[in-house]
Amino acid sequence: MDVMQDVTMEEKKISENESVEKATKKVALPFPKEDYKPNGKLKRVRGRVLKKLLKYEFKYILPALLACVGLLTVFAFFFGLETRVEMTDSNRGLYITAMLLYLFGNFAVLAVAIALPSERYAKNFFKGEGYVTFSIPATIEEHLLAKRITAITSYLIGSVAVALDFLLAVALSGEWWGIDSVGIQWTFEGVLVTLEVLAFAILGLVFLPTLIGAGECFVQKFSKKQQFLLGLGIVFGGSTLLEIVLVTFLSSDLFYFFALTTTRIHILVWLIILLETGLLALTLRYEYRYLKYKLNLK
Amino acid sequence: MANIIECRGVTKRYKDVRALDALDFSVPDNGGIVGLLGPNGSGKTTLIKLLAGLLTPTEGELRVGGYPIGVETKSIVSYLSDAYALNEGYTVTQELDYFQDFFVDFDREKAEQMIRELGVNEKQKVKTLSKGTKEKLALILTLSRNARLFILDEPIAGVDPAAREYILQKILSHKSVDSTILLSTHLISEIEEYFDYVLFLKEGKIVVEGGAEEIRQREGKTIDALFREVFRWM
Repeated sequence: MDVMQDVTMEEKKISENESVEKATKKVALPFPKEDYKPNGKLKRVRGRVLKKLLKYEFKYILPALLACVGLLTVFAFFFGLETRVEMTDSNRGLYITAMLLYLFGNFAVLAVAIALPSERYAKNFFKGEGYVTFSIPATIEEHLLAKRITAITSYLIGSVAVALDFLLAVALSGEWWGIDSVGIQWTFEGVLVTLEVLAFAILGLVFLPTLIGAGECFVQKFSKKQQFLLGLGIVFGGSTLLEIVLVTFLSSDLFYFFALTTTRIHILVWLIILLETGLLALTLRYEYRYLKYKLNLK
Repeated sequence: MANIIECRGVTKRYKDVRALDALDFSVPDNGGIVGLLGPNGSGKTTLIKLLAGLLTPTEGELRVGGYPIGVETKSIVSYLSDAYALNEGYTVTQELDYFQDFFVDFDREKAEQMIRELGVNEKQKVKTLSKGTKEKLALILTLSRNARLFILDEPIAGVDPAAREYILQKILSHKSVDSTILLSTHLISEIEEYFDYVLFLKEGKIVVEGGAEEIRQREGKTIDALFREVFRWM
């Protein structure tokens, strides 16, 4: 009797498994082979999807940014030329206007370079557009990477434009103000310092948009409006806090301990780089988890 | 026949609120129209957002076409939110480009044909379109995909009667055996005759589930009458 019961149970189990198998029969997907890893799982970041996302990101960012860069170049050109002419009572107004326009151009390019990707992030993820953005078959990793690449490119374009336009203005003025060439000294110390500067620059470039993005995610709890401004507020609030910590540290005995020898200074610098990398990883994790698990579009 | 939707013990909590409570149901892959019915606040939109991959369940397992919700399911699900969301800064053509770029199953010709019928200038920006035209455009883009599952969240709520007729006509003309249309509504009388399968959602739980005709015969009343009975005190 027991054996019979066991057989019946076993048959039932097989039949259940078959029905689950049937119930979960997979439909064919429209993904090409290159989207999959060798183990058959879908890649978290697929080149072809990333390219398409970047295309739409740059279409949004570049026109306004390049227009500002163009305007700055015009302002730099006139500012450079006017410095060849001596300022007199008759041209004072024009002189000051050209200088102010040049300064304003610098500010506008940097502001637009930072603000545009941040504004796009808020609009694309948290507003009505979010329904479309998160309905397309792209992973959160692909979305975030596209946003980060665009923001970093935007910052680089802005910074390079400001630097080049400064050089243009200086060149046109005919006075190089004794700008010497800056080169890497190929000593151990020189290479180490160069590496440190590079590490800080790269970390800063990645950290800023990540911090703004995470800030925009964080403020969702408090307001569904002005996320972009609130996100920037979080960044500047965080920077102020960081400065307070830094100033406190610089005036402490601990800093004097590190400042005693060059080796100790380098150890301190790499500790800061490590700390910043850790913070960056934590911020990225928060941003990723928020978008994947917490975001609820209204 | 495999199921297009499999839902096992799915719970969704928002802090202390249980929007969906251990849902267990499946929808057969027979094509046709599935009505997700329930009053406001019953959890319809939450369930739809879970199916569309816009939310993650707190507990349980949800599958569409055999895949857990994710990038795979987004490629076979065409979703229209109750906000009729579109990329507002784009022109109609750019919107078509976007859909064509990201959805392999997007039928551009079909979309362009429907847009022409609607009389919309393709160079016009989406944000300059009237609310009604935006709603129709969003529906056209959603239905122009050859998806396995179409999810339409309250497509006929809050629209004028003429637009409602247009939307219903487009949905019905899209009905086929190869794809399932899941639509949520509380305006049952308008669409009841077209339902092939229905799910009643009450306080985050499925209270009625099955073929529309089978339910009508079993209960001896229309789906609309049954709905009024089930949700009488809500």
